[in-house]
Order: sequence, then structure tokens, then C-alpha cells
Amino acid sequence: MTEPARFAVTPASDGHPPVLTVAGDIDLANVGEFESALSGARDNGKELVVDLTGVSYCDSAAVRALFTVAAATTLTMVVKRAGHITTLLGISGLDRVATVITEG
Amino acid sequence: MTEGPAGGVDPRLLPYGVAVRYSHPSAATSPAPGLWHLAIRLPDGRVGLAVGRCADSGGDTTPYAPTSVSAALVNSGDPVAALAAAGAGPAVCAVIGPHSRVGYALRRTTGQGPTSQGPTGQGPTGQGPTVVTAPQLSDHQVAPPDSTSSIDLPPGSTLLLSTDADHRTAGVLADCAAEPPRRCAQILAEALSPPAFPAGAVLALYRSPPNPLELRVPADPASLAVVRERLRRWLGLAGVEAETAADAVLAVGEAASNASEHAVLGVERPVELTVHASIDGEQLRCTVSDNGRWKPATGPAGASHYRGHGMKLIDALVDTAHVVTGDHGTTIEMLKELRS
Repeated sequence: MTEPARFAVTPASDGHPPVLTVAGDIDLANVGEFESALSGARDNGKELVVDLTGVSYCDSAAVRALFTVAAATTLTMVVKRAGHITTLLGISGLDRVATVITEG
Repeated sequence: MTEGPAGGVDPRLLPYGVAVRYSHPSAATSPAPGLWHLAIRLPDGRVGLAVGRCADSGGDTTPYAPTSVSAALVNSGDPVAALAAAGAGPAVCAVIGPHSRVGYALRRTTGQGPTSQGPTGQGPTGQGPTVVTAPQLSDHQVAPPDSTSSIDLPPGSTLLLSTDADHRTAGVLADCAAEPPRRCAQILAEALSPPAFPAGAVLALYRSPPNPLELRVPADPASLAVVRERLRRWLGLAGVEAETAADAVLAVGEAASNASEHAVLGVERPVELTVHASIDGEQLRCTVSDNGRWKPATGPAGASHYRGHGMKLIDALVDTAHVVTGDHGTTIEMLKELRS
């Protein structure tokens, strides 16, 4: 199923970094929204957590956006064990410039 | 020689699109005495299917029937010759060629020699070896002995060979024809079980591939979701299993994304992407073509063609990928092996 992307931000609080929760498909058509959501959630801070467990599709376009954030802040990504995200992170090398937490 | 779920033959042993299942009097995983099957891909790419029951149900010849049938099919590709090689007992053999053209032969006698011309001897319970299709294409009940009948299977249709059947079988097949082949075989095997069929049966099912997918869209990011959706739907119709389908959708998605981002240089006419998907034998073939010209490399983020992350990702998802670029545009062809 092709699902439109949805973004939700849990702002930073009490020593916990902000969390951007992403669901749906990320592709070249909406990667601009993803980039805005990432910088909005980060809010110029030093850390960001991105929860990608609800992502139903993403490819190199999303990975490039995450690389940009990883260059500007300490990035942690939460991903599902099953599916392609771990392949994407390994092949792109994003897992070497950010922390990856695998669930499931 | 059954493996996997009770009665079902391990799909890794079968040509793509084929399911084989035994329904037998006990829940044991070994075939009922005398029942045998054969499912192979011939050297020229055709699929050979056969099921039967040995006349001497002591099982002495059971291990040999598939071997003899296999040799006969590899040598001649002739279903009648294959049945002669099978030894005595009811049997049916089909050879599926290009464009799903099927040739099949039946033998209904239950104890007489392979050259018997007797009238349709009944199988243990019902009407003996049977060929049925969904959709129903022709009356198979009157196939003359020792001759090959032909069917042209439309795309996405189902061929059933069974050692036995009754008046309900065609209806059961028609009702489950949209299910994946293994599920379809399971439903049919239940219908061919005791008490209706005390001696059980063995069935072989073949699902013909759908027509190839041909999709033409503007080379624009907005087209990408459409490409993924259409491809997913086509892969479902083709019975491609979920993990392989997801690999294909990501590979094609990545290729189409690259093309819509880069293949847009200086053309008077709008650039289009053409996405193609087809199944040939055991292989899935997907191509993404554009009719544009690619921006030259401007650095890692603007890398032209498929160098860099895009191609590495595609290479990890499919077995073979190659790119051809010309004045007309660029095509990436991706090939992936399938399993039933």
C-alpha cells in the first residue's frame, strides 16, 4: 500500500532529545517535507532521535536527508529489524555516522 | 517424497508457478502407496508435470515412475511417451511451453498395461486422472487415450492435474483460482481427501504468469508512488512472494527515482519513464527506461547515472543489473530469480 507520510514531533524535555516519529512512504516527491520535519524537530539542538519503525517505504532520497542531519547533529535512528531500512543504512554508510537502534 | 507442510511438496524443489500436494488417508508425511508426482523444468525451459498412481500399490515401482517420466520428457517432450514410461496405472502428464501453451495426455486405466485402449476406467473413487483449468477452457473428459490434447492457458490462469476428481472439482478450483498456487493446492487437496476419496490423490497445479506490466509515466517525482503501487499489484497477481516483491519494488523505486531526478536535461518534449515487469521461467525481469538526457556529475549529491548509492542499493536487491545509455535515453534492466 502506498501511504502518504506523517510526521509527529515529541519536543525535547528534561535531558531527553526531541523525537521525530515518521510513518508512511518517503520518496523524492515528499522528501522536502521530511527535510523540514527533521530540521523542525531538531530545532538547532545537539541531538535528535528519529523513529522510522512506521515507515512503509523509503529509498536513497530519505537516506540523503538523514545524512544531512547526521552531519549537523548527533543522530539516533530507531528502525525495524525486518524490511529494507537496515540494508539501506548499511549500504549508504549512514549506520557509521549515526546510532541505529533495531526493534522487533 | 513430501516435505514441508503436511502433504505439500517443498516449493524450492518445484518450478516457479507450480504447487504439488498429496492428500492421503493418513496424516503421515509420506505419500500414500503408489501415488507419485513429477515437476521439472526441461532444458528448453518448458515445464513438465505429471501425477499418477502405480497399478501395483505395493509401491515397488513408485520410486521409478517419476524418474522414467522425467527421462522421457527430457528426451522427447511428449506427454504420451512420458505416460508409456510411467508403467501401469492411472496417470496424467502435461508439458507447458512458451506463452503457456499446454500439451497433455491422460491414462485412466487402473491395472491394465499402458497400451490399453479400454474405455474410461474409473479411478479408485471418482472419475480418475483429470485435467481442469480455471477459467474452464474446454471439456477434458473425453480426451482420447494415447493422444495429446492442447490448451492455450490465458495469463494468470490455473491448470490442475489430479490423479482423481469428481463433479465438484472444477467448481472448487474455480473458487480458489485467485489464491496463491500453494494455498489453492491445499484447498483442492482437502476436497480430494477421505471420506470422499478413501485412497487419496496427488495433484499438481500450475499458475500461468500474468501479462507483463508496461507502465508509462512522466519522469516526475509525483509518478513514483503510482509506479510502486502498480508494480506491487502486478507482483501480487504474479504470485511473487512478499520478500522478493519488496526487493523488486525498492529496486524499481530507486531506479525510477534516480531517473526522475537526473534524466531531465534540455529536452523539448516532456521526459517519460517506462517501467516494465515480466516473468520468464524462474526469473523476474524489471526495466526502467527514460527518454531524457542525464545531468552530468556535479558531486556526490548530484551524481549522474546510477553510480554511487543508487546502484549499490539496486545491486544488493537483485541478482543482475545493467545500465544502457544512448541518445534515446537510459535503461536499467534488473533480473531476479524467483521461487514458487
